[in-house]
Amino acid sequence: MKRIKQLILILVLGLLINPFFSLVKAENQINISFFYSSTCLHCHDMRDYLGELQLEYSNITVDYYEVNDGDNMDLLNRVATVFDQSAEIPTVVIGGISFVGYNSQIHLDLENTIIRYSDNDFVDIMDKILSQVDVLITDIDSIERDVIKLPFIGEIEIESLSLFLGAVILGLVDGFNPCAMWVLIFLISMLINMKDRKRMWAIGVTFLFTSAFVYFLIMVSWLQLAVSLVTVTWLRYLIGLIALVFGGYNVYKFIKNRNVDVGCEVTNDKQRKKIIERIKDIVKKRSLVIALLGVVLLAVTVNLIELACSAGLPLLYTQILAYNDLTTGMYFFYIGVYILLFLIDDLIIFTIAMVTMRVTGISNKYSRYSTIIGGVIMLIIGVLLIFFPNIIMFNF
Amino acid sequence: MKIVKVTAMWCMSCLSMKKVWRKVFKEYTDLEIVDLDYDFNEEEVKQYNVGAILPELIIFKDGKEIKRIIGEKNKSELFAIMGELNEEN
Repeated sequence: MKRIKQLILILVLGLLINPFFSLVKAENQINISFFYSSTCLHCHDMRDYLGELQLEYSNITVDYYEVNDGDNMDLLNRVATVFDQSAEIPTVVIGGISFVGYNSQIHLDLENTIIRYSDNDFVDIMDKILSQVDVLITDIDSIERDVIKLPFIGEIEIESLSLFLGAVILGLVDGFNPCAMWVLIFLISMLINMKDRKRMWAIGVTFLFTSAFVYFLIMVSWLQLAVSLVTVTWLRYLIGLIALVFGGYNVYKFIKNRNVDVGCEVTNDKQRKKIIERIKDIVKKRSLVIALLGVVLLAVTVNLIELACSAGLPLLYTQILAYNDLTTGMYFFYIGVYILLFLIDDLIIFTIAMVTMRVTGISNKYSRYSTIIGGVIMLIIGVLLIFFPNIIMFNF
Repeated sequence: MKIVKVTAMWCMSCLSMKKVWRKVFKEYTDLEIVDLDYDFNEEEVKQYNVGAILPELIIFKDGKEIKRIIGEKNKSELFAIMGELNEEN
């Protein structure tokens, strides 16, 4: 009786387990070629990561090519020619795709490629190169990214759209921050009194252009730093924490001041007076060249001083950019979009003033809204950076 | 009534309030308006003990301070305040 019970149990368990077995399809064997040098730091990181992948995926093997040994450098050059890329290390070739460099995006792309190739057919280009068989252009594969179709625009990658919208929203919210705006307003007011339109245009445009350029340089240097440290996990946590602190402070400030009269806050008398004197001096200058030099210096100083007031959003946006593997041109493009939107309110006020010869003010209640919107955005980004970094990398 | 209007050249709220003030104050014929700039009329501004939010309107009746209006106010809010002050006095 006991034996019969055991047999029934085995049979039931067997029936339950069987569907799982029948669902498991034999995975494709994937061969990964890894070009490295023992002296290169990123190669070490990549080697460790490939080791982790081997533990996780039993269907992958890794061939190691130290570029200083034998003909390995020649082989890397051939790989570079086939994929039309520079022969750099670390380089990883899987099927029809080659990855150069090492960052978080490559991390994810490598794993996604392994998952895709495990269940789908692919061409092993490395095998073709080693067998000296011609590689066809159709053999070269690309990373699959999520795409959506938009009216008028057509197909667009979710990653590009998200980064673009991020630049628009964050730039706009950042722009309504009144910290540096008062200088432009004061400058325009002083220029209008001069009644010399040419001079007004020249000085105003120089101020705005220099402000944009300084902001651009600051964001590019942050981006450079963020890209080089993108694989440092604790830094991601630290920036996430900074975002939570800045965001929390903005929300606190909004709640605290919600019943306070909307107006201009008078702060730092000494610094304001200094800047006002400098503007008066610039406007008085007879030589336009000297006035322009003065306004360039003024824009640089003001933007550096006021940076502390609005550092949160640009810092976070550059961090988001760093997590997405883009070309230098695309990095510059997104930062450019951010800065354009950051300056849009200044540009509108300046243009209206130039045309009507009157300075128009935007109610400070908008800057109050920008405080709360910016705060909430920073809190969300902080949580994402710490707990869900994949979303920041737009890999859902 | 006398209104001492403390504004600043760099202050967005002061600029955005100009239109509202113009519309409201033209309805009152007996107003004397004194414009003071926070940075350019420093000494006079000090006498009025102005706070940290601009613009600030200090209203006097028969030489006595009767009200301070701080920050941005819309047209109907300002009309309501002025109406109240006229009724009270």
